[in-house]
Amino acid sequence: VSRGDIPAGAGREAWAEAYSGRVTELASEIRSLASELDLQVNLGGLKLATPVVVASGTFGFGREYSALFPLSLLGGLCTKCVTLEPRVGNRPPRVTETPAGMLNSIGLENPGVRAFLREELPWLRGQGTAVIVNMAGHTVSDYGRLASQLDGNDGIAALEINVSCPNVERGGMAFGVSPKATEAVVKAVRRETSLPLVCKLTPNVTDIVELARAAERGGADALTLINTLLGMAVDIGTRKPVIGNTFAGLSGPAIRPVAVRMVWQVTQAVRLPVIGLGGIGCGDDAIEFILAGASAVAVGSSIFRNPLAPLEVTAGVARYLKRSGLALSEAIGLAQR
Amino acid sequence: MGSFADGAPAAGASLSAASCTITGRRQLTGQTAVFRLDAPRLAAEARPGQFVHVQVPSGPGADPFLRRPFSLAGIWPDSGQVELVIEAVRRGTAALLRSQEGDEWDVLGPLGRAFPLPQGGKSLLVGGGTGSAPLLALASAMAAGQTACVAQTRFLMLCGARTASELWALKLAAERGLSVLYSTDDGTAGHPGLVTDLLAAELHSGQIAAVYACGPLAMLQAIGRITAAYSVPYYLSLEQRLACGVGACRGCSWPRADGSGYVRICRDGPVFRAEEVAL
Repeated sequence: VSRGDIPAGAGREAWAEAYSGRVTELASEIRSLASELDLQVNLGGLKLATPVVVASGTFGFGREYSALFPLSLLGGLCTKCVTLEPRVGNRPPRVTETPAGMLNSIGLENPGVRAFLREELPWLRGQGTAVIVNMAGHTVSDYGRLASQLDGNDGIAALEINVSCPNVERGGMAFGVSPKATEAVVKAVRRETSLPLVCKLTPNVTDIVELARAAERGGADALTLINTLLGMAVDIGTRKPVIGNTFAGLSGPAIRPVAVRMVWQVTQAVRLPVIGLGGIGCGDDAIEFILAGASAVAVGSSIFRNPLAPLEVTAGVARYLKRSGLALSEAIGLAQR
Repeated sequence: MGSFADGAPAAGASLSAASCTITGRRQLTGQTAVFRLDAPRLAAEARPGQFVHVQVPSGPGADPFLRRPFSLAGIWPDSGQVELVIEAVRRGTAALLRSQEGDEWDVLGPLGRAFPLPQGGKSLLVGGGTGSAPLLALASAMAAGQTACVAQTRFLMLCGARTASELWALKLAAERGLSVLYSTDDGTAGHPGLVTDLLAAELHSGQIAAVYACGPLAMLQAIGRITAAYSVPYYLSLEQRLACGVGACRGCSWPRADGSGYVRICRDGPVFRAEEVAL
């Protein structure tokens, strides 16, 4: 069916224009603070211009929000999860609001790795930000094959391994809840690439430290924590689960204390640098993670609330450092000392 | 507002980047009010069928967390104003409904794709419940001659509600000099029965160029069955739970008619040709 007769407003990204004044202010503040303070971080070989990235799944492949601000203002961009084959995703409804947060079960909708390399990466590599490709599979060998297809392409700064997917060889239990499976997946990816590897851990485990150690043994260079907490909601009107897939991942400020605790525990136990996330919407939220041990932070679902959140967070982190006279490297894990 | 303000406020950080002032608020029913916003940029850019994504005023706890989407019910480029009709359904919309004249909202938009304007002939605009909002905007645009075929646009609005007290669309239509045929499920006003009865009668009695609709899914499905017999173009506006509103998160999916996956309500829609989506 042709969509030619259905107009897209005035044909421009008019929604983004309302923010242009604030974007200009934030851009100049971030650039000026970045020249004054050292905001760069090196996460086991993944070099970021600022310690603030956008979280996988909340930013697509960057195109929609590129109308709003130059992506070069981001420390990095974790792409929507890429799989070997295209996926149409889960049946709706896929999102719903919860107290100070939201549930989502998108089902890894993505065009597949070949379309990603053909249609998204060539554009993305020109945006001036570190591209961190989030990837997932259903078997250990899927992960290896994905890594080998992604390896060797210009413009990929790192791979982020999503271990929260069901392992079809182990009855659908997520890889990330088993130290053995987590280690195996990271090893399979490590064998295929020399790119920096970031393993994104699931919090739906008894002992997060055990999983962090497994990722370290597998050869991860850094960790992202946390992925969403498994949850669900029931509609008391229809008396059915709200989300089409029944279970869904909880994100937003509601999970922040859980995430901060896990960042603390993991950075005490392993030497890998950590990208912390979970309900970060402003600079102070990010600083909490950094003081707890995170070397960088990711902004996720807060983008849905405030599309400028990644820039507000960046400016807020820099302002805090300047105000307190701390170098970023000194602030990392300061609450532990 | 100001939920994202940091410890040390920077210039402009306390107020949102896209704030609009409420310049008018009128209660339409016990649970519904129409809000007029001073929003020159929106009024200049938006087209009927497009929506805005409004942040619910909340404290630093960022709760309620997500924005709420509303189709524009009126767009006045000359005065730089737009209107939204908000019905209190759950806590987010209830909080928005409590807002007063002079308050500011953070309004993201205009978003999504608009209704195509007819190339002449007579159109039928069918609204059910809160779904009447975007059709009021469309009717006003048609009445103002903002179509490809200026003098020749004829249209008829058909509005349905459960009961007379919920027929708020009549008040707004009357203010704008638009005539409306209406129905109530319980027969307390207008045609006793469904708005689709009125649609069927209109389609039967004359040549119709296009049908536009927004409302409950059962109504949209019924209109699909009725219009199919007349092979008349049918455009509908769909509703779904949204997160980002700009196409990035893939949260607001709706099945395609051909079973090949999903469209995004927020970016591919909310307006679709009926043949595109599974109803």
